[in-house]
Amino acid sequence: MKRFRQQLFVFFNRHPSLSLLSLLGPSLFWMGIFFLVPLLIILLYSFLQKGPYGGIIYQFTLENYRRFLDPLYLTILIRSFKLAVMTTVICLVTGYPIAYRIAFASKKWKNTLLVLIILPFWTSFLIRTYAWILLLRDTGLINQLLLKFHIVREPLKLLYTEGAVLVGMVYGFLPFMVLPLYASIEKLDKTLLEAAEDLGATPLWKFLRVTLPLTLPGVIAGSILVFIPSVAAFVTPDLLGGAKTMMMGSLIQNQFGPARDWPFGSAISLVLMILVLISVFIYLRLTKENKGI
Amino acid sequence: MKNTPSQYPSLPAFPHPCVPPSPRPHISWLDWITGLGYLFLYAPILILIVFSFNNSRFNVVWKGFTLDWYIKLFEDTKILEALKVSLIVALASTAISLVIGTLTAWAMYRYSFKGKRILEGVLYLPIIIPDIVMGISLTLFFVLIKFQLGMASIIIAHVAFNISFVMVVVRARLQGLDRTLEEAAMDLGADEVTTFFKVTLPLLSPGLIAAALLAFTLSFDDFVISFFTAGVGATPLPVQIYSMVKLGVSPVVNAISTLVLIISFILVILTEKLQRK
Amino acid sequence: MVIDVELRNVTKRFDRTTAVDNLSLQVYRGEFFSLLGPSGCGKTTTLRLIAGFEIPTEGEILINNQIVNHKRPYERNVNTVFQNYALFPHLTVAENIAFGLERKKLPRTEIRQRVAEALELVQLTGLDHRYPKQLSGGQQQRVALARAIVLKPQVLLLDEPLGALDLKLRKEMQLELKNLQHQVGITFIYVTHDQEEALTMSDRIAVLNQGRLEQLGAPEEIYEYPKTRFVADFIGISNFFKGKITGNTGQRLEVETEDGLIVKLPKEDHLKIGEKVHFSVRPEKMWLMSEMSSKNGENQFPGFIERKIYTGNATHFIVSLSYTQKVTVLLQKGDRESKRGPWTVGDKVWISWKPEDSVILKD
Repeated sequence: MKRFRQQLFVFFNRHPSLSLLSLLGPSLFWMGIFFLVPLLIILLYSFLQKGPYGGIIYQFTLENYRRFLDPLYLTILIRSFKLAVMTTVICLVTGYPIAYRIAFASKKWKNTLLVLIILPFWTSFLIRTYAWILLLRDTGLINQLLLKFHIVREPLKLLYTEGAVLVGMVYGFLPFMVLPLYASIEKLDKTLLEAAEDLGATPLWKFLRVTLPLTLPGVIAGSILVFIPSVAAFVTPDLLGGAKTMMMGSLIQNQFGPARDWPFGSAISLVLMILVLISVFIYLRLTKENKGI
Repeated sequence: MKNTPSQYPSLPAFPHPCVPPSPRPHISWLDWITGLGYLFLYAPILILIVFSFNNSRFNVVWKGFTLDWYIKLFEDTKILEALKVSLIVALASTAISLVIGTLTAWAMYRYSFKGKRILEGVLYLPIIIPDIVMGISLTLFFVLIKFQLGMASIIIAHVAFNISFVMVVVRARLQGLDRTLEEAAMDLGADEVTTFFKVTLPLLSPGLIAAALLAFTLSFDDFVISFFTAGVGATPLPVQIYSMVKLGVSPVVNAISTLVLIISFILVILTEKLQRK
Repeated sequence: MVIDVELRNVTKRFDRTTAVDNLSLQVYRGEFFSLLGPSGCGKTTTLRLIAGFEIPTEGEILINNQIVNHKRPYERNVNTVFQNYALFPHLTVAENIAFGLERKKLPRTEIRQRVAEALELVQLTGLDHRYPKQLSGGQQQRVALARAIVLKPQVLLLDEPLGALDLKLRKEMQLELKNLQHQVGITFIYVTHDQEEALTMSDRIAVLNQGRLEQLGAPEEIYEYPKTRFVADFIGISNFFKGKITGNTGQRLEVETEDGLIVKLPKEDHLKIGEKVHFSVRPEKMWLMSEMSSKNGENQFPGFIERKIYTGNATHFIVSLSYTQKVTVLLQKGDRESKRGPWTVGDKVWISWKPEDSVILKD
């Protein structure tokens, strides 16, 4: 048996292309059938017509894309984009100081602080979003406190607003910003900062002329990592937003749920995906150019 | 040195995380922002956990400690059934994706071939693509080929994204692997099989365990893709929680959420420990 | 003499680069053989070819008079001490050393015995249960050595084993390695880019450059009679001259250098009048004088001291003989000529050397 195994190894060593195929085969199969083919299906469906009771009629049309210009859907598209950009900006502005602080923390604290950033990263997004309902609803903790200290007389409407969606997304995606920022600040040669000080730079000047330009790859990476899930968010607007704050994610879900309009849903999905791929492409281009620093 | 720990006599060994001894003590406003940031990240979770022990149906004010909601939880057959589904899905998708992802990582590490860059891109796609798009496209696919939505369809979907995560983790570990160690083993008389089992595998195992834990966590926590690919009769826990949340806030949801969070925390901390090894 | 390892016209190409180019050499049993050259000269590739990590593109590798081109590393009776030591991080010191013995399916008691012996040999007794991470660089180096030697290979291959150590430790280990080789009597093939290390330790040295063998010989031979400009330049310091043969006085060759110096060289039969030659002179073979001397008749040239570099036990003088020709002269402390000094920068001096101290080089 052992002899056989060894011969197998030697055989594969002598025939690298065969062993490569057997190593890659399973993932090629799985990713091909259960990832790429489904994506091709939505590409196809997005150019077809919907049946009278849902389903598909195999007839080519561009109608599904034209519908984006319908003010109803255009508003949703613009709102998604606006909220995603706002989320990204807020995450950047708050994430940068945090990342900077972690990068300059003592060794003992650095790991703990990092794990605390990573921890929510991998825990149920649904549950963490749900936690905000407890805080934001009319009888939630925030309103309770505001009432108790007589800051307001009746509960504020916090839940089911754009603000709630924004808070929820910042909350959910802040770690995506902090981690790449941390990585690039950590890599920063600290003597450069000392050199800047030595040459008479004020803290602000030092930050604008040295720190920020050198950590730009992290800024770009973090921004895109936040922007992608924000623009495609489904859970947050669904739980924290109302009918008036519908975003693209919910719109897609609607087409496959109550609206039963698969071709339109496919078209939105595709647009979303292209948006994501464009931002990834921009990211790759920008980081490639910045590789020198 | 303004902020040395000696200034905090009550906490000599463990200064507050936000004001550790720092070479740049004058930027303490950073400490404030960082502290608030962490508060922002953890306060909602803590409140959720606290409320799961609150002796009040309406969760509005603190009425005293109780374990009632946890007891109710374990009487709720729907939740228990959902938990079972989630565990089966997570275990199965972890096992399958671990094997496939590791083989792929090995191929990417050992061989250079035509189209490697493209394949690399495709393998990273499931990580960056919005989960809603992945969920929708798979559902359409299953409907089109008339595949019954249920446990199997969820597992297939979870494997499809977990392969990528496993590959990334294992590959990082492989990249850190010193190839001369394998050469040294062969030099000392170990054949290929022995080298693999005596040297490569032991060195790789922390990465494999980390990848498995990560895959399990991702699968167990996934809501969006499960939501679309789940069928009648197989409702994973996050989907069950979602439908309960949609009905309104209930203390039982707090309790099950707390349990899920704690399980995830333990898994993530384990993963972190292993990756640092 | 018994030949342990032989390379016959071995060439190794990677994609587009040729790492080893038509290399032939023989390593005798029990000798300390060094492969010396700058980084990228193909010395490590040569070692890896012998170890079996690479398969030659052309030519043959023989160990014990058998062609081993396609033998796997574990089928060869040679062991390697790796540059980065390649100690298994998940195994203890003792387990690392026992790794090869276990593959040989030896009884446990014997393995334990031999591990203990090996540890003693490298003076690491008592560290059996440590992990590599817990050892210093020098200790790790010894474990790597013990792990290979314990298998009693026919040939031990060492890939810059002292490269990662600091200077002082390196000097100590050089002596120790040499002693160890005497003790165990194994053939050593030693790869290094450190010419001093190669000179002090080796029985024979192969100087490699760009995958080709420049010169093979004993250390004195290589130092005193470098055959090529590369060897003369790479090993020690040399003063180089270029010129044309203008005369042949029976005992001496007369060469006119590019700067018009008439230099006397020892006679070489195969060179004819009018031919171009390169030759070199070691700095320590040159004299420095305040004025012309009748005692040192041949090869006396005037010049100016351009720089003076004091290095403790010796002084280097850079003397310019013309606009383009500069030479380095090395005076050891206590050399009789230096008593005439002290010369300083700008002084006019005469330099001189014996004709037989000029070494004619192949291009």
